[in-house]
Amino acid sequence: MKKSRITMLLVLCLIAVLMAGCGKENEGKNSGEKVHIVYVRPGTEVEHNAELVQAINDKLDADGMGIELEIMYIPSDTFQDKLNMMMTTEQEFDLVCVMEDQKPFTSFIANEGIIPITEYVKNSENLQKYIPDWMWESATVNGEIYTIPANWCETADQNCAITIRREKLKEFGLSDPQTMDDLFHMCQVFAENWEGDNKPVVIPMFREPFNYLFRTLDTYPFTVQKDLIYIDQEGNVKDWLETDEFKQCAQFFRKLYENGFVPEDVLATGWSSWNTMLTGDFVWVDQCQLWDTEEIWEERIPGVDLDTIYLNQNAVQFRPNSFRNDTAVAANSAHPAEAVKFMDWVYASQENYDLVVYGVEGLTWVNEGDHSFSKIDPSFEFNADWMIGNMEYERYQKGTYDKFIEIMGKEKPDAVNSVILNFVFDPTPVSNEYVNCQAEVEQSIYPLKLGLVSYEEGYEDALARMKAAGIDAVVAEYQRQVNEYLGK
Amino acid sequence: MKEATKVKEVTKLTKAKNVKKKHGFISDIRKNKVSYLMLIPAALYTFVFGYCTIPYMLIAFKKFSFKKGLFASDWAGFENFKFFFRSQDAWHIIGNTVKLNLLFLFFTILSAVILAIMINEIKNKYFKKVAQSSYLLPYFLSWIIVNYILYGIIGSNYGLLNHALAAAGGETINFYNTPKYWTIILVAVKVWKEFGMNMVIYLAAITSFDEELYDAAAVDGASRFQMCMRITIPLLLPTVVMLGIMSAGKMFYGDFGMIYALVGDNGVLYRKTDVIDTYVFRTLRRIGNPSQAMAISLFQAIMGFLCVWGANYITKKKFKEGALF
Repeated sequence: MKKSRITMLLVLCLIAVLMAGCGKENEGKNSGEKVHIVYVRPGTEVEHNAELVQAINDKLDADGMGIELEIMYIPSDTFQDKLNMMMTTEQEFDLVCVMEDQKPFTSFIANEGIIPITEYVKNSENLQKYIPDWMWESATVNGEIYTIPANWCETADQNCAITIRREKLKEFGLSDPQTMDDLFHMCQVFAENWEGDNKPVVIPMFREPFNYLFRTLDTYPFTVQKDLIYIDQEGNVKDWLETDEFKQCAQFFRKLYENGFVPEDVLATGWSSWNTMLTGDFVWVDQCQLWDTEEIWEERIPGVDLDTIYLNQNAVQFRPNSFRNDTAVAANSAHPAEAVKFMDWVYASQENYDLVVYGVEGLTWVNEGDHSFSKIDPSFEFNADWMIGNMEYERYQKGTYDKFIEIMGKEKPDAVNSVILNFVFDPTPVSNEYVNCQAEVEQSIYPLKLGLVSYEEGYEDALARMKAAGIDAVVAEYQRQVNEYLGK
Repeated sequence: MKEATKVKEVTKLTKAKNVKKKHGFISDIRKNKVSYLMLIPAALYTFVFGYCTIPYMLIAFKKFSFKKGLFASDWAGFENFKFFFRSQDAWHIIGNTVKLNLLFLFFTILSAVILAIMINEIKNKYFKKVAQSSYLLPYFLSWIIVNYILYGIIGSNYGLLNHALAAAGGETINFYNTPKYWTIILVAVKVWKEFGMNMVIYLAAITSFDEELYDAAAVDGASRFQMCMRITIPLLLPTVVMLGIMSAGKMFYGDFGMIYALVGDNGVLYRKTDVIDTYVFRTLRRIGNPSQAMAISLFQAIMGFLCVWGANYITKKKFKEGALF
């Protein structure tokens, strides 16, 4: 009898635990007159989270904002799925971190997941002041502003560079490459002179267009979207696969692959560009990779002297896209005005920005002056600059490569903007074709692009598959919308 | 007289009903309070996540708006199904999904049954325990870990297999660029990971068989092999069929966790590895349209239901002991 009572008690406890998990998360969060704002972002809860959020709320109180912040963390790998689920089940939250490379804000608009905030933005002095007009244009659809761009870095000439080991170029007597032939020659010299068991390879970030190669082509500048659509500066839209520019890049990569300079397992899930870079056995890595301090890189690869360079120094500075991250207001938000007001407050002063982005001074970071700082725990990251940052207040870690700051943190007023910089494609009229073409990119475009399949052998098949997926309809719709946008 | 007999019969029936009532559902609950109490968490879980979510299936037929919600969103008919069924690979992907599931099912059951019988024959109890645990271990590894193990074996530069091939003077194989090997690779990995757990179920069934049957067979001079063929396998068959029917419900679901972890976005291999779930994930991850995702889930659920019902129907006709309902 006693045993059965204990069992019953245990079972009741189990039920209680189960039911506790079904409670509404935001219940009872309104404290006094303050409006409770929930900011949903990717990542896992950081150390000192409670203290950091409390510090933000204390400052919000001191400034008489009448707002209380809560940060909701969703693990990065399940962020989009869980966000969809929360929106579908009408869970209340206010601000959501949008990553344009994963799910652009236009996709949220298609399902009415986010709401227009034009009116609130127009009344926000700091948002207007620190986010340029052309960025707001990119955040505008059908005359309404839908999202707050993170103006944390200069996008002109940002991802059309490569990162090299400067000390190896010096050691092998090589000057900075300017053309595709120079790059191939560099690979050959590296392979001939490399000491160590592993042959150095090229590390391609193949999920993005190879913008650094585009600089070497006569027709540069032009814009390539998702390896699917090509747009020249006249506003002509083409299927990227069918262009001569794609052919030249694919043939170059085939040459690299045939000579063993592209990792054979580059598409395997076990292969990691980051881990390969950490071995130091590389000729170049796509884009600017000078993310950490020189000291950290010295620890990772002893003797390394990383540098980021551009091919074809004579090419114009080019800004292919506007912003890559932004913060939107969710459709289920009960306090959209306050949500935007909070964002305006973040950009109101260096003190507010520091609190929200870097945490509490002395607890998580140390002020090194002149827009630089040191992390107390090197791995700590609160609400990163790339999520919510702004160049006006952004700090760089002490010891960051000067080149990195030059590329990311210095505005390039002379850069040529892409003709579609502020254009936002609405895929709704061709949604079935568009999703199928996107799925097809991985199957048909990547193997050609990386040289795993020769262009001559694989082109016809890839083209047939893209046509069957509906690329012609997508290009036609894209062209129609671009024409409308350009007033053609 | 006839009336009196009728009344008697009715009284008898009522009495019988009352007796039945005493042994009905309520009295069963009273009798097994603790057992039913223990069932509550699982029943609640099934009710909340299995039944309360059914109305959400409506979104498969709607142009779903997060703002308008489930019922107020506009109807879209079968529009959300089109992106998949009009794609050039729809039938190929469905074929891949079913083919891989059938291969997984067949080889997992076959290897698990053979292994369970072999382990049952082991007399040394310590060795038996170690062997059992060793076979079970892979089941608890995540697919991500399994992926790294696989990469360590078949990787081009650092893979054991390619090193062995090179050492033997053979040509190395770029597995991650050659689709033809991947049906075998996927089946082998799936069987390796899951046959341990299946084996435990079959082993549990085998140990419950009446020992007297084996004793009688031994008296008649049957060998261990004959006992296995004439006693163990026939007695094990209902369990095998039952588990088979249950697996049939998942015939149209690709093992997303497995295939995405092992193949990822390697488009070169899709011809052999793409299943419904990986295709839908790849297609919708940027757009993230819940209506389109639900449309495909609904298709998979209906097909799964038909498979279970069909498998059970055939089993009931051919092998009654194995039928589930």
